[in-house]
Amino acid sequence: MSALVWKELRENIVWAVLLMLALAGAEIYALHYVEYGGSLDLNFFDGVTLCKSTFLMVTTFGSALAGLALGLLQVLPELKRDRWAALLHRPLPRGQIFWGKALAGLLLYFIAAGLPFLFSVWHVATPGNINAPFVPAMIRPGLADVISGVAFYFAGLAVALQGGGILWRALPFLAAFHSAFTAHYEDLFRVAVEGSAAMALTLCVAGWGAIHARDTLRGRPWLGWMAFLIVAFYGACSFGDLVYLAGELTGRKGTSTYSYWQVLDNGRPVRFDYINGILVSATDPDGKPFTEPKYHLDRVRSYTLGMNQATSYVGNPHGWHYRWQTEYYRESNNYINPLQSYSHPRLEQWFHINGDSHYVGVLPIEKKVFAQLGAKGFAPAEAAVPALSDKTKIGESGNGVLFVADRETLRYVRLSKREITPLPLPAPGPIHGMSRFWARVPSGNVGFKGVALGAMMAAYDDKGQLAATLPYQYDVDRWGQLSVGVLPSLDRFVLQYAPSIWIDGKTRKTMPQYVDLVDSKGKVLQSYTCLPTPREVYSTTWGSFIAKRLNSPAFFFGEMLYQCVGAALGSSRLREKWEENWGENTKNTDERARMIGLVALVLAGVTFFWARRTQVPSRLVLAWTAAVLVLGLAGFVMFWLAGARPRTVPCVACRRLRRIDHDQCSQCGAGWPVHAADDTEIIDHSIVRVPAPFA
Amino acid sequence: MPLGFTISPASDVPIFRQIMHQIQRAVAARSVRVGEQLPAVRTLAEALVINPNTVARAYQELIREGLLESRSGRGVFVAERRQVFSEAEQERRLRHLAEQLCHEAALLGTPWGEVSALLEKTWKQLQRTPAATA
Amino acid sequence: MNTAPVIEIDHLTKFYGTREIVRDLCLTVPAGSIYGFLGRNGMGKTTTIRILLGLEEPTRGRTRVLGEDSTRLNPETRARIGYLPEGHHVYGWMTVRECGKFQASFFPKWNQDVFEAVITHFRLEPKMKAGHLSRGQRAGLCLALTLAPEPELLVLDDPALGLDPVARRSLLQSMLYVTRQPHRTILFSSHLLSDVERVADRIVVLDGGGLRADCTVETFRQRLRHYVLKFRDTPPAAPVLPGLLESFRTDRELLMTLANVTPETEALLAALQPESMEPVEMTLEDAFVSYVGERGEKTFFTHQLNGHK
Repeated sequence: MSALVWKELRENIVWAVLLMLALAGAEIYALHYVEYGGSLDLNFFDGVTLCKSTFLMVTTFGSALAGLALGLLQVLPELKRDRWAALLHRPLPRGQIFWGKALAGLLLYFIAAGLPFLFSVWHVATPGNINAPFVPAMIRPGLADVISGVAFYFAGLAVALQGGGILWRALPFLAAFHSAFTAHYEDLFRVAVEGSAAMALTLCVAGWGAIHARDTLRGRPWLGWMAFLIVAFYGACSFGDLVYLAGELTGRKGTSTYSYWQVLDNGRPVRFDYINGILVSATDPDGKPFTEPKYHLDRVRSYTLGMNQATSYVGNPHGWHYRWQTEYYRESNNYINPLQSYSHPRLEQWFHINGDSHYVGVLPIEKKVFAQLGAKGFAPAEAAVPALSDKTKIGESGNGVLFVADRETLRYVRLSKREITPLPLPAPGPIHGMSRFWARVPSGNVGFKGVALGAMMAAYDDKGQLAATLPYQYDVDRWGQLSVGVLPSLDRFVLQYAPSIWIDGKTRKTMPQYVDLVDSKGKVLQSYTCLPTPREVYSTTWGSFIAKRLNSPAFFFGEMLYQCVGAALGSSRLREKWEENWGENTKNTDERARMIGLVALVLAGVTFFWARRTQVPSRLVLAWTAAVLVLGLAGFVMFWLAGARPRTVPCVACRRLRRIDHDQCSQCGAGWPVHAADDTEIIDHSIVRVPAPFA
Repeated sequence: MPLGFTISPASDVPIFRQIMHQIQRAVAARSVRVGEQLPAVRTLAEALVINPNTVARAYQELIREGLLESRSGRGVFVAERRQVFSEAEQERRLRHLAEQLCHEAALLGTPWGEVSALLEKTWKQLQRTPAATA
Repeated sequence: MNTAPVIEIDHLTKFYGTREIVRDLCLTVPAGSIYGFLGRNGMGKTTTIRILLGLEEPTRGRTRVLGEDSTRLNPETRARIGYLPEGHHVYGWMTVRECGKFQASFFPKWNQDVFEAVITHFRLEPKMKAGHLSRGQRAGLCLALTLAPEPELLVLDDPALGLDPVARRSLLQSMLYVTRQPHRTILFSSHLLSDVERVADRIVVLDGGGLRADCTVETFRQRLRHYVLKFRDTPPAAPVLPGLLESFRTDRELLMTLANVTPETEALLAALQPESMEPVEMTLEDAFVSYVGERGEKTFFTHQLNGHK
C-alpha cells in the first residue's frame, strides 16, 4: 500500500502546491486588506487579523474548495473505465486501495490548506507584520474551516467514487455543505469542530464503502452503506439550508415590528415604533407625537441622548445568572476588542484580550507590542501579566482613557501616560456596573462615565472628576436595568430604569419603565412613566418558513422533548425556550408540529405503497416506512435514493411485476424463460485434446 | 533439419492441414529422408507463432496416415514407407488429384500428349533426387 | 495440479438500466487452454470480463474464477490473475522502471527476468517516460507488467487493438510463452480472426449478449458451409432452411451460407434442382462474418445507391 500512497502523492502534488500558493496568497492579501482604503487599519470594522471576515471568507471557501478539488482530482481522471479497472484489479483488499488514496490525500490537503493557514498564523504572530497583537485563541475560526475542509475532501472522494445519477452523486457534497453551514452558525468552537470531524469521518467511511461497488449499495460492506445513508440524510437536510438561503437572498425580509423607549435632548422620553426597520412614529409618554419641528420623524433620532446601559440588574444575584453576551467563536470581539487609537505622543493603540483579561498596547506603524496592562498595572511587552479578574469591570472612554472598577475601588487609567489614579467613590460600593454617556455640544461630544453603586449612580467626566451623584428613586432590585444620560447643557442628567433581567419575560413585559430628569445632586426635576411597549413581532422569510417545516419529526419532537425534560429538571435556559415555544409562540409551534406530522405521515404512506409495488421484502418495507415517519422528508429522499430501484418487468408466467435481479418470481416462483435457440448455435464440448508425448 | 515451413492463417485451408501438406510435400520431394527427426512440437509452434496443439494435431494425423512415427520420449520421425492405405483408398486419393489435373488441362485446352509428357517429366525428376528408395 | 475449471459462468445476466448486455451466459473454461472470445463490438465481451474479475456486479447469475466467487475475490487469488484491459493505460508520469517497481510491490511472486525480457523485446528502456511511448510500446509495457507476476490465468481484453503487425506478433509470442508451463490459461478477446486462428484452442462467440458458439476453431469451420448453386436461368429465392445465415443471388447463381448442415438440409438444397451444387471452403474470417453478420439476403452496397427513388 505504501507504493499506492507514493503514486498518489506524485500524481497530485502539483495540484496541492498550486492550491497552497493560491490560498497562501489570498490569505496574506486578506490579512492586509483594509476595507475603506488607506494602508493602516485602525478601526478593525472587519474584525482583527485571523478573525477578519475577509480572511475567514478565504479560509472557509478556500479550504472547502481545496478539499473538494483534491478529492475529485484524485479519482475522476482515473475513472475512465479501463484505467479504473487496472487500479482495482490488484492483489490488495479493495478497502486498502481507498486508504492509499485517502492517506495521500490528507497529506496533500494539509499541504494545500493547512500550510497556508499555518503560514498566516506565523505571519500574524511574528512582530513587524500586523498592527495587532497575536491571540492564540483566534486561530479557532480558521482552524475550524481547515478541519471542515477535510470533510469536503472526503466528500470529493465520495462524489467521484459514487456511481449513479447526478443527484445520487451530489449527496456527499451536499452533506459536507450542510455540515459546514451548521458549523458556521454554531456558537461553540468545540461543537463546530466535533460536527465537522464527525461528518468527515462519515464521509470517509462512505467513500470507503463506495469503492467496493460503484453503482449499488448492496455490494458494499454494511458499515459503508450505513455511512452512505447517513450522508444521504444530511445531504437531504441541506435542501432545507438551501431553501433557507434562497429565502434570505431573494425574499422580502420578514415583517417585523418593534418599539423601544429613548430620551430626547430636552429630557423627555420618546417611544420609537418601527415597522420593517422604518421608523413610523415617535410619541411621548402620553402617547402624543412631538410637535416641535426639530423632532420631526426623519430627524428625531439625531436628538436622542447618548446613553448606554450600566447594569442589567442590581444587587445580589437571585440565584440565577444570565450571561448577556453570547460566545460566538467566529466573532472577532469574542477574543479581542480594539480601543480607539491615539497619537500623543506617538500613534498607539490598545487592545483588550478577552481570554486572560488584560490589555496589550501596539505601535501600529512599527507593528509591534510595546506594553501590557494587567491586574498589577502596566508591564513590559514580554512579561507574563496577571489577568484582570472577571469581577473587574472596565469602561473605555476613548482617547486612551479607561475606568477600572473592582467591587470596591475605582481607578482612572491614562494609557498614553501609563498612569493609574485611584478615584474616590461618593458612596460605598459595591460597583454594579459602568456605562459611557455623552452630550452633543457644538464643539464636539463631551463624555462621561456612569458608575452604578448600590444606592446611587455616580457620574465622572473624562478627566476623572466627579460630575454628579444621582441617588436611585425606585426599587432597583426590580428595576435594575439602569442607564444614565446628560443634557447638552451639561447640568441636567437623566436616569432611566427598566425591569431587571432576572425577572421572567412574561412579567417583565407588563412592567413599565421610569425616566427621571435630575440635577447634578440627584434632585428630581421631572418624572415620567413609560408604559410597556407592545410585543415584538418578527415574522420570517418564506425560506425560513418552509425550511422550518421540512424538519424531521425526530428532530422537531425530539427537541421539544429535550426542552420539556430539561425544564422539568431545573435548567432555566431550557425552561425559557420551552415557555417561548408554547407561551407566546404557541400558535406558531402548534401549526409547525401539525405540518411536520402531516408531511411525515403522507410521505410514510407513499413510501409504504411504493416499496410494496417494487417488490421490496416486507420487513424492509416496514423498516423504511418507520424511518420515513420518523425522519420526514430527508428520510423519504434517502428511501428514494437508497432503493436504487432494480428494474421490474412483467413475469411471463403470472403477468405481475418481478425484479430482474431475482432468479425466481416472488409471486409465482417461476424462473426465467430459456432463450429459444435457433439452429445456428455451434456448441461442442467434446474436447479434442491431443496428448503430447512428443514435447 | 529445420524445414522451411510457412503458414498463412487467413486461408481457407486449416493451419494444421497446411502443415500436413508441407510435410507431405517435403517427404515426397525427398527433402527429408526417412528416419529424420522433425522439429519438436513446441519448437515448431513457437517458430511459426501458432498454438502447439495445432502442430501436434498435424503430426498426429500424419502418424495415423503412416507418414510419420513417434518414438517415445525422443520425438517424431519420418517413417518407413508402409502400406497403410487399402488399394481402394490409394486409388481414391490418386483419382481425385488426377481429376483435378485433367479438368485444368481441359480448361486450358492442353492436348493429351503434352499432359502425359509433363507427367512423365515430373515423375522422373522425383526419382532422381538422392534419397533412400522405398 | 487440480483440473478444476478456471472460469465458471453460470446463467450470467447483466442489465445496464433497461438494456440487456449479457443474456443468460453459461461457460466453463478448463485449465490450460487458450480461449478466444469473439463477438461484434457491444456484444458484452468486455462487460463479461469485468464481471468475471469482480469489477462489476452481475444482475443475475454467478461467475467463479479459480474456484472463487467473482464478487468476493480475495487478494491472493487476484495475484494469480493477470488482467490487461483495453487501451493499454499506464501512468504517464512514471518511467518504465518505475512502472515495474510500482507493480512489483503488489505481488509477492514477481519475476523480474520476465519483465525485463518483455521490455527488451519491445525495445523499451528503463528510463523512458511512459507517457511518451507509442501505442505498441505501451502495449509491450502493459504486457510486461501483466506477465511478470506469472499469473495462472491471463485475461486480455482486445490486446491487439491499435498495434502494428510487429507488435501484434510479439504479443502472440508472449501468449505462447505463457503456455509453456502447464495449466496456464489464457482468455483473450480479439477482432483479428487470423490471430485467433493461430493461437486459440477454442473460441467462444457472443452475439446479442448470448452465447452462440463454444467449440474449437476446427469445429467452427467445419460446421459452417458455403454453397454455390448454379442455375440455368434466374435462380429462385433462397428457401427457409434451418441454419441459414445469409444468401446472395446473381444472374445465374444462388450463394448460401449455412450452419450445422445435415443430410436433410443438403437434400432440401438439392430439391431446388440446381445445375450444380458445390460446397466451398471459407476462411475463418469469412465464416465469422457470415455467422455474426446480418441474416437474410445480402443487398448492402450491391446495388447502385442513387440517393433518390
